[in-house]
Amino acid sequence: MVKQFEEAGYTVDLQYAEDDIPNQLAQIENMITKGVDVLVIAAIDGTTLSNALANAAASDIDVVAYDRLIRDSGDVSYYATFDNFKVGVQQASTLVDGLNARFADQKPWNVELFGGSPDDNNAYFFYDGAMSVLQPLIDAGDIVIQSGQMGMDQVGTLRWDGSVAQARMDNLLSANYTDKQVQAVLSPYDGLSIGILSSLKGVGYGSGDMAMPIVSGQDAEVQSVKSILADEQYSTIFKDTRELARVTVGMVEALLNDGEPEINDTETYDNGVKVVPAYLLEPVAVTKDNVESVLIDGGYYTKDQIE
Amino acid sequence: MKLMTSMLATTMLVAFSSGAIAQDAGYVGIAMPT
Repeated sequence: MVKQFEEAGYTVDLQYAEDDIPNQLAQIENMITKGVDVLVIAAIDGTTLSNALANAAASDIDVVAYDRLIRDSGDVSYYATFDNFKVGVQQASTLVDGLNARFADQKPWNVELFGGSPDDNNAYFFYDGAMSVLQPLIDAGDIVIQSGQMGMDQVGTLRWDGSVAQARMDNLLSANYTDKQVQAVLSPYDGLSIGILSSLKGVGYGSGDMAMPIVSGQDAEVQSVKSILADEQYSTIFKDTRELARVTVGMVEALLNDGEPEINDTETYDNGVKVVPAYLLEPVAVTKDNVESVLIDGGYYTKDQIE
Repeated sequence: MKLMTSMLATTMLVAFSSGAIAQDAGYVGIAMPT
């Protein structure tokens, strides 16, 4: 691959940090030292890069935040991401659609909430988007959160860890659902959904007279798409990473040629120091009904991959 | 939510190497979590 770049006349330094924050910091500092012209950063922790980015700015290196906003720094030039609030809206909307389809005669619906990692700025947008749909139903008495656990401080899942979600679901079921059933679980990410589903199946949901609750997700990961096709997970949100890459490349191209990167949002992403100009891509809600048209016909997966 | 960074990075690499950015445009550092 390096050879391809060299033949094409580009120099690209691609580093993976193995989810280790000090490792990512060291990699970024090293890239700065080596004299990159632009940095594209998908931050592990969006709050820990301020010093590194100050060093980049001192060397006139533009920074594009990739998918996750880099917080607490004035040295982020642009942000390429999906419309994360809309992701949350779609997650909750599919949840309500599923409740109406599977549990229409069982109102009020018992629902439990899971949030993403509190160190990921996107997690708050997902949660707020979802609650913009669910809160009115809670206020109207159509949805009951039996655990009473609401708000990112209570429902967040550090590092998006599926095992943490599974353990919390175990606790929610044993503490609140020994004499009643849960009808839906808001999950913000497929990796959490799989853990939540394991917990639910472990106490009998999905068999006998215990209907599988409606469980949402995000990222259209292979395991979750298979789960959707098996009538376990109800929905996921597809974010076409090919488009995210295309937008990011366009931003880099503009920066390297003194152009203006394409943006469509200049208000939403305040990182604590500045509002970072952003390009927000459209997410797509996926259920069993449109797996084929969105994911297979769209060329994202082959049929063999998800069957 | 884990980023599907391998696919993301690969797509970017293909875009860079296919000439989406003019040759000799510069040196790009890409930092991915996983």
